[in-house]
Amino acid sequence: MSKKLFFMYKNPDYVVDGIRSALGQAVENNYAFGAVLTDMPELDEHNKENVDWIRDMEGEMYSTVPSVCEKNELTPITLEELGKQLRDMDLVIPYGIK
Amino acid sequence: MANSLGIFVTNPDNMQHIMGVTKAAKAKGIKVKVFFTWSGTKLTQDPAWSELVKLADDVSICADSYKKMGFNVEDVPEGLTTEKMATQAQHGDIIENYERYMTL
Repeated sequence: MSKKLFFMYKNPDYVVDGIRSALGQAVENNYAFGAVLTDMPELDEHNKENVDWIRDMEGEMYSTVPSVCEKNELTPITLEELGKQLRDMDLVIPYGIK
Repeated sequence: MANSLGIFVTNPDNMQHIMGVTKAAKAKGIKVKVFFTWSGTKLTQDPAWSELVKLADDVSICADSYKKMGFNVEDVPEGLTTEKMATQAQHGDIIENYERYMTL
């Protein structure tokens, strides 16, 4: 049965691979969501396409950082909204905490 | 799958915790699968790696991450076979089939 997964990215060194990992789970017929909680460089076109794929498969990629939303075309989310989203998830995955 | 634990590893600094949790779980008769991705694949070079692959029931790594960390994908880490040099589907296997999940 498909599960709702939420990836949390706090370390900029892990964001790109973490998005790839979320896409991998979307391909595995799970619902993949994620939130970037840190500043990070601009994604290249390949990785922006990965975000689009996640959306095509009924997932979403958010950020709490306005500048990250703007340069990477991620969906803005507040901490309060994020908290509500997490309550609906089957699994919350902190990705690459250091 | 009852009495099973999947461990998803992204951080290269957590080998002592992976070993500790795996030993404790195995001592209680719990099946353990460990999947390494991104910089977690650096732990294939850790001195404790050979002990882990003997102790856990299933160990696999993301081959793409292993390559991105500078390793040769044809250089298969000790205790693994080529089919264990895998994809994120191995993470999916943990999510779908294992009773308990943790990330380190």
